[in-house]
Amino acid sequence: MSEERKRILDMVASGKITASEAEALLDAVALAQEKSGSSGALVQDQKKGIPKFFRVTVDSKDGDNVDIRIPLSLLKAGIRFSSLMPPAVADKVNDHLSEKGINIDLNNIKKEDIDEILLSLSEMAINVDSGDGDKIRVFCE
Amino acid sequence: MKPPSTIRIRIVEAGKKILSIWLPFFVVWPLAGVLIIAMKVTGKWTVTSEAAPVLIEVLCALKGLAVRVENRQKRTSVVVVFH
Repeated sequence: MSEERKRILDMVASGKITASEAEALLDAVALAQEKSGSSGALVQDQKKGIPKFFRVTVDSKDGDNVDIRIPLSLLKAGIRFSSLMPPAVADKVNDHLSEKGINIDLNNIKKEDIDEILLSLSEMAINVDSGDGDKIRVFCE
Repeated sequence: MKPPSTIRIRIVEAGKKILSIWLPFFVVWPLAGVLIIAMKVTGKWTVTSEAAPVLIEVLCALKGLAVRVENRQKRTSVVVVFH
């Protein structure tokens, strides 16, 4: 919860403003946050430390090198793409996911949830060094 | 979000360049814009066409995608980069 919203709710609780006044104030705060969020989304992402790319590198002893860099914005766009799914199809996908033990409701994934996932990905790093000299790195940057 | 302006594809086999091209992706965007306007004007903009903005968003998100695969021994490499 933002500081402004908390302050408004405190004012309602202490009886300084009425519920309707608080509603108007909350709308104004939400509008201001939307404006600043849309103009500086990228700057905000950088400030938050959200990584921009998902990297996979493979360096095998046979001389095979693979370097794949996938923009994480594709994930956000993909989620928006999933919103085009007919509800019946989305329900079937959700059912199949829950059968596999993945309890994700595709209809309820929001942009904030994606940001949270991306933020947690910034800490993720998988390093595999096999005995025969192959190296695999999976990380976000 | 800016869409990718060019796509670079480079294929090298046994140290010899097979293919090295820069596809001008930026040409696609004005054409897509004209196509969407034309479809709206002629009334052929159906419900399925509503997917177009999302599809464009996915294409925009491709900027920065890079795939590099190489084999040092065979001196073979494939590079695809969305700039």
